[in-house]
Amino acid sequence: MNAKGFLRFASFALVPALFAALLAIAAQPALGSQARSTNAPLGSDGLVRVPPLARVTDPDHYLSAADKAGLEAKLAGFETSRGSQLAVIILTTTMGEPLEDFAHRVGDAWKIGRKGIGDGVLITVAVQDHATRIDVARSLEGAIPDLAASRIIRERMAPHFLVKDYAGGISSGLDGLFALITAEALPPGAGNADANPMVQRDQRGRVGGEDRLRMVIPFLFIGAFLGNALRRGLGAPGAVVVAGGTGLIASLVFASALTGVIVGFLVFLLSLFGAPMFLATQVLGGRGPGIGMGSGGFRSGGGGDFSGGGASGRW
Amino acid sequence: MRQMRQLGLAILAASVLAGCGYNGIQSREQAVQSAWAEVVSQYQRRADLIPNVVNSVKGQANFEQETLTQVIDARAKATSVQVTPELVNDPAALQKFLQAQGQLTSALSHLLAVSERYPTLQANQGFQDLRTELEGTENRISIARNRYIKAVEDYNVYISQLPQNLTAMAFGYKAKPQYTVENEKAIETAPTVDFGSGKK
Repeated sequence: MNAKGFLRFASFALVPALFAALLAIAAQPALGSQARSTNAPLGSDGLVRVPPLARVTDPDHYLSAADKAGLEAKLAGFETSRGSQLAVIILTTTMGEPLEDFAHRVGDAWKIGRKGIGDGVLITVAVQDHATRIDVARSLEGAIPDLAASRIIRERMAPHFLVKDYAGGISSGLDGLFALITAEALPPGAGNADANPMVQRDQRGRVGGEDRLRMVIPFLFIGAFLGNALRRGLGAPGAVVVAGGTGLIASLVFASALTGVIVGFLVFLLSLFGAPMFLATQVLGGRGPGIGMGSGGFRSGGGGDFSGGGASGRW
Repeated sequence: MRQMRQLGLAILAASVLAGCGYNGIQSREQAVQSAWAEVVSQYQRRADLIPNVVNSVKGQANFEQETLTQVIDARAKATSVQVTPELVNDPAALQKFLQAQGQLTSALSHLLAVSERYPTLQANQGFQDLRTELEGTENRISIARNRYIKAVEDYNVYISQLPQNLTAMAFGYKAKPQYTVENEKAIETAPTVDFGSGKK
């Protein structure tokens, strides 16, 4: 390679390489200021969107798969035994929004905690912001006063977070919360009282509104079927008998006389008018699952009122 | 027969009123009242905490007297405002109340900022507990305020729409004064803004 050839090589190969290196250096500070970011989707206002309901939300993978599964099992186990609903969100940053505001938006949207009891707790951790918060729904503010929440953050969570052991800190924090909730006289969880964990009952054993709507439908089906058959055989009195019977059973099952009367009345109408009426009731009664459904079988009770209880902490 | 007609008239009147949104106005007004009660009770909770804070700070040798006096004065001013349910319908009185509370908020946050300079206070568990309580109360206040703002908005929009606006006019329901957010912000952030902002 002669000198001319080398120069040509330099101009073709080295100059672009130098240029690329310069670009990389120029881009460095910009990358540095962008470092604090999260994989959680952002809204149009630049704030982190309320994530879909889940026991453990970890968009930036601070927890190993095993740790995440372990925490989920722990939370699910506590809900089964004691009924209270707890959830954890860990992410890199809240993009400049105070963690309190973010946590409150989530709490307001999820409303975790049983219907009529409202026993929910939300733990949020923003790792790069070095901020964490325990949000306590109003009905648990007696069991977990702000000071107790603050102490749990200080003594159980922050020491683990300092050495980047996020799963350990959250787990230890949960143990502290579990102990406080267990000490409170709340109705037991579904695992103790009711074989069907999908159905929530309030203190008096009644089935909550949405569940009731869902469970009433089979009654209408069976009632309308029997009612139609009997009406053909016996006329209107047959429909009355079936309607009364179905209503009575429904009132016993739901522990509510009103529900029984309504079911009975609907069955009577269905028996007389058949399918068109049934369609009408489906349209009127067939509400979607609303905020209830979440991933991994987690279903918010919708009772938690997050109005600022709990504490924040830093590490 | 006459009784029947009276009953019919009563039922008619009730259904007409319900159709005109009278019930809706009632329930929204109730929502505003209860949201307001929550705001007031959270402010009260804060006022109740302050004497303890003041006492624990007083124990600190050579604590900035000026900061302390500001808090005491602001509390006295805030608690001197008579809180009645009618306050939500009186823009001037509401403004006065919110201003007093806003000044207390800023005096308190200044006090907490100043307290960071005293290592013995930072190490004092009693003071740190009070601090946690205060922060929790401030957090509750801001949420209660937001809910109140939403309730008032809901009410004001509802009574300004047809046909409820006619009902509202007939029964003398007026739009309620809203929180003036800009003023509040200015009052509350004033002391924290001048940290090294290079003001001359």
